[in-house]
Amino acid sequence: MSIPRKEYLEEVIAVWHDCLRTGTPLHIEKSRRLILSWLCTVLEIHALGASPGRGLISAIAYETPFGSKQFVWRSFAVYDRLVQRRPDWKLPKAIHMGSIDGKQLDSVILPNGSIIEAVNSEGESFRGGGAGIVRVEELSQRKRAKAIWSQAVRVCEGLPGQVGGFPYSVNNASANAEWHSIKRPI
Amino acid sequence: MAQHQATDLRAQPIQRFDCADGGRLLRIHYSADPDKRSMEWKKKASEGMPSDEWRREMELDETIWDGEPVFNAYEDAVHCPAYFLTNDIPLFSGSFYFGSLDVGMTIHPAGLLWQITGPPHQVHVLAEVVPDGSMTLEEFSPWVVQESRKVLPQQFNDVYWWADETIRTRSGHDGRTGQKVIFDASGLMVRPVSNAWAPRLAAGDWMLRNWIDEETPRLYISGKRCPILRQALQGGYRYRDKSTAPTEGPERQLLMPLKNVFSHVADAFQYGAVRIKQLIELGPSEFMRELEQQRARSRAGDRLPEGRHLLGG
Repeated sequence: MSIPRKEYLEEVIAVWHDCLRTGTPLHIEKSRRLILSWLCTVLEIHALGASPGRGLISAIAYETPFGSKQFVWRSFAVYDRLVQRRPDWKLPKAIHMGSIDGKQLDSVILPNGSIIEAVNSEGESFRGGGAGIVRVEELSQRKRAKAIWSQAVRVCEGLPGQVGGFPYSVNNASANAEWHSIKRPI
Repeated sequence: MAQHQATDLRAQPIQRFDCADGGRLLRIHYSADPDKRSMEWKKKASEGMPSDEWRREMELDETIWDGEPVFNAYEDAVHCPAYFLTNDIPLFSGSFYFGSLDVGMTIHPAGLLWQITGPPHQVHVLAEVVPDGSMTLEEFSPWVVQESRKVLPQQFNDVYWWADETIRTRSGHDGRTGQKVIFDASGLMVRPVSNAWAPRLAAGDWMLRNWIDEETPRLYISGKRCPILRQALQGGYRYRDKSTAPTEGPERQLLMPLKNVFSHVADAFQYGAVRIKQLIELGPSEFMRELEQQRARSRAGDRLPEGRHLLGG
């Protein structure tokens, strides 16, 4: 599988990178079948491959059979595919913890030291700080969307005067009142 | 809720907004992909997908609650006045306190804490305890204790606890009942309540439709401490969508609630409602006698020899 060249994907990439650069929280609310979750995986691998950092992915179990861990497996799969498809780049293999065959990984460590970790679906699971990228899948479906989102933002906070990490969410539409409060426009 | 629907997504399939909290929102409709703009594509893609699901997942319609709400008597302005969105429901002296749990045959437990004032008995749902994901009883019940003590620091020891009757079912590797597991993990003595569907639906509905007098509803819920229950009663707890299974009859409306993120706290609401309705209908003296009996039964359970399973209620 490869990501096709589409105008809407390029627009997403531009906004995503702009938010990453400025540490601006981003919510993507999308129809299904737009391969945006896979695109996000690619963007994370690119960003964390280019610059060492820590990525966190939170998902709920019904979205994929194994929740966050399957999204981390996707990260490994994308990087591994890159290693295989571009042997001329001489990319070292990534290290992983978890089951490749089961498509569920706890973490992936890229050769530059970047780490992508699965976190569970509760806000309390975002611990510590200094996260470079935090992706929350289906924030709009979470019962405590506000609490989870505030924790995601918190672990991305940077030092005073510095741009911090980049929290973002990928969602389907939902009637969830907390979600509507989070994305409330100016 | 409809703020983001002001602009037609088909006319402008990618929309950008600045959010009030400083973030950004990108809404992307499937028609952003030129390959997905034709009627043929839509017809094929929507095949076998329930229409409500299509509207929500593909058209980004934010108003879909799938089937009809189970408790359509709930009125947010009546049962959860604006004041209780930010303030706790006050505790009244002479009240009784109850906890109702949905714990029996689920890995998604939920609990509610109730206050029943003295006669004529207004009912208040003070707080909910609902984990985000699955949780074992060994983890859940101490958490219930912890959260309940925060809400009822003085009254905690006087709380009567109820749960669905499946807590008497033996399961797991050691064959303990849910009742025993909860007791071992937290010290709570939980009594079973019938989980028959019709009585609990009726009790929940009664709780919402019943008024003490013309100006006083029977039930208030704390919007501050019960956000999930509030959403459940606003339509999150709903009947399953029309069936697509040939065995059930296509397009047949099934009067079974959908199991979703709201259903467990809604179940806990119903177990509490069943028991509280029974007590209120008994009248004041019987109400007290019944509670004393429950207390006595719980104490008897406390004295069971170690290692023995608890007796049923």
